[in-house]
Amino acid sequence: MPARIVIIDDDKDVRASILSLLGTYGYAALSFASLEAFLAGHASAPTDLVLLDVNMPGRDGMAALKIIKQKFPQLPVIMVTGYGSVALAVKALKDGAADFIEKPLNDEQLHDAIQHALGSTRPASAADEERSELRRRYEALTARERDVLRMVAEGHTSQSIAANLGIAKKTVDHHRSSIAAKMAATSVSQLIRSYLLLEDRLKPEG
Amino acid sequence: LAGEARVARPLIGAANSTLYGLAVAAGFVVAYVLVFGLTNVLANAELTVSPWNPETGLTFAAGVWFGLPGLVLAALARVAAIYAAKPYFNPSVDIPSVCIHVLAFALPGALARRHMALGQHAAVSVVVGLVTGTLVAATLAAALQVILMSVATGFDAKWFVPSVATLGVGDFIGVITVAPLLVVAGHPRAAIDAMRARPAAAAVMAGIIVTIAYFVFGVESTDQFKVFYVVFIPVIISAIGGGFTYAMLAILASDTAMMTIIYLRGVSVSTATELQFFMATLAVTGLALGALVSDRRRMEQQLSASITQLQESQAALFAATRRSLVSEMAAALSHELSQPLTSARNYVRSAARLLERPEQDTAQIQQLVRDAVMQIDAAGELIRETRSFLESGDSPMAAIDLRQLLEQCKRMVDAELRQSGISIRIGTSPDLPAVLGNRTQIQQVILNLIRNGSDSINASGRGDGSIRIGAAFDAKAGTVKVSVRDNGPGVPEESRAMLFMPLNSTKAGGLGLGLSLCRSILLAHGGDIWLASTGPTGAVFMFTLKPAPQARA
Repeated sequence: MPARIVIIDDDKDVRASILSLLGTYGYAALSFASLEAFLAGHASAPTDLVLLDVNMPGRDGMAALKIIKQKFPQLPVIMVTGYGSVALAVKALKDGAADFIEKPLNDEQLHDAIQHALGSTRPASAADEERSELRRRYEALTARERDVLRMVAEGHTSQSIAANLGIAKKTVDHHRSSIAAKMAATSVSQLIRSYLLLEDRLKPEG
Repeated sequence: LAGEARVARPLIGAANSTLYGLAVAAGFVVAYVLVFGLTNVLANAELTVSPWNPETGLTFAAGVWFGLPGLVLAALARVAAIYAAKPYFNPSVDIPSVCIHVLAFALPGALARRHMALGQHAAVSVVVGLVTGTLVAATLAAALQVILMSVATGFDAKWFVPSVATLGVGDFIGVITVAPLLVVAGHPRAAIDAMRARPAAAAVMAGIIVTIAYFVFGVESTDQFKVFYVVFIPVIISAIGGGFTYAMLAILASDTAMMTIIYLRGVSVSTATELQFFMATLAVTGLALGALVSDRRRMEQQLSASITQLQESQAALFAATRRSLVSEMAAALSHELSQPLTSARNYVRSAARLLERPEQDTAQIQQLVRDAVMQIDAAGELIRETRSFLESGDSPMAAIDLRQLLEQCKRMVDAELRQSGISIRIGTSPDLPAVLGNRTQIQQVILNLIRNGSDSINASGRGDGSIRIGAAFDAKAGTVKVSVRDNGPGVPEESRAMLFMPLNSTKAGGLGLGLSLCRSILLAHGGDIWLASTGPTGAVFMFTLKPAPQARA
């Protein structure tokens, strides 16, 4: 049975295009223009995952995320935004989002994120395994790299990290790519998620 | 008039050559001797004393030009002049007399030299200082001179006051007639520059002055002096038409013409005092009027300079506000573009994935490609619209279709407002005429008011914001009235009074230039802007514009 994915986005063209894209990946996708429409239709359409637009009129996506996580703590939510920032990503992840993706969407990345989020509903032993794997990777970071990782997760830009640590921005960028390689992270949001998991701020679902 | 703005500077200027200094000093002595001699010759033989002493003006100028050394120079020049004019030279009387003269007129010139320049001071204050100072100095000097002469001839109380008056008024006229031209107008060259600037006017005026002087003093039938007031006419016209420098030239020319004609005709003026008081009155009148005109012109120039400056800073302000508007639009545009680009990419990727499958649904793939093209066209439309806004730049005053302009403004902000859950609606009356204005500026006013409304709604945090714009023709007032209504929390009472003043923002991060800029734009358009109503349910701003002329026909 294909995974049932719900798209919540106020732009009907974006909704329709994601629907057709997810269709080609074999998902059973359904779309709503607002959180209210989704909540009203949820009973008749059991859901495995939600793609939620951050920038919507009326109530914004971040508030919608909190409501969804309140009503359905088990339901993974991936946030999608037109203009994202690390700070916004950190907030979304802390509030329980499974991932945070920027528009224009890269469909392979979206597919990966969906797979990962769907897979995170698994036994506690798997989560423990993931955490000890992350711990091993984290041990491999130098002290300076750990500082940089912490500041990235706190929402600092490369510019502000460089200023804070008294090093060149170029050096910071170098550290960041080294950190990404060592932590096996393909996106900033993945990196932040890993860090939050290590910090135990983020309870692995399941 | 150009010469009046100059600052008085020493005649010797920067020349440090001793030879040049000596040449200037010698020139001064020669000029002094000539003026002194000519005045004595022109003074009618029947007049015991010359009615005016223009050389006293030179004494004063020596103090202004050369400072304290000027006192020595003036003394030397005067001794030479007396020696040349009189058959005898009496050291015991003439030397103390020269000392009194130099101390009374050259010393004040040396002391007041810093204050003599027009441009640093108002002409009226310089003239008032000169006239009162000279009056005091001339009276004191004349009294001392008369006492000095009494030592030799014996004191006669009956003649003391008339003698002091005659001598004092002569020096007074000499200083206020000659000195202003030589020193107050900035530089001796100012007079030459002034005549060069308007040669025709100067020639005509000189002709009129000579004619009038002849008419008043030269024709027997007019019974000299009865029609002397005609002499005032050219002086007053010169003062009004050309200011201080021209007034001075006219006074000097009138006095010289009168004295020359009186001398040539050999007419005896019954009393020297009558003529003297007439000349003094003429000089003071011309000076005061010329100074007033010059001051007024200077103020007008300053005013027009500050108005130009004001207009320039307003243009800069407009440009700055426009830049910030453009950068905000760029941010909104980048967000707006990401929507159709996301959709287009999704459709194309979907088509690509379907093409990878062994059996292909051509119809479905074609539909996906059509959808993608539509999204790309939508993105192109967004870019075109932004470009047309940026290109509108500084458009001239023209007839503007207000309905179309309002719709364009709406399209520009619609996406941004939707993000905040604010709806925007426009209602225009069917008889709405085209308005006269600068398209870019009117657009900026409308966008500013919409922005204010949306900021106010956003600050209140309400989710059902609405902005309504109405435009109608007010037939009674003959204006087009536009209203912008929001349903925010209204304008706080404390900020209502100063609403349209610059730098008076209630918004965090706001400079408070928006509404003041709107107001200056509308005032320049012959319209106005005001807060029509406000309360807890929102605010209504109204502004007026003039209809374009042809649109009313």
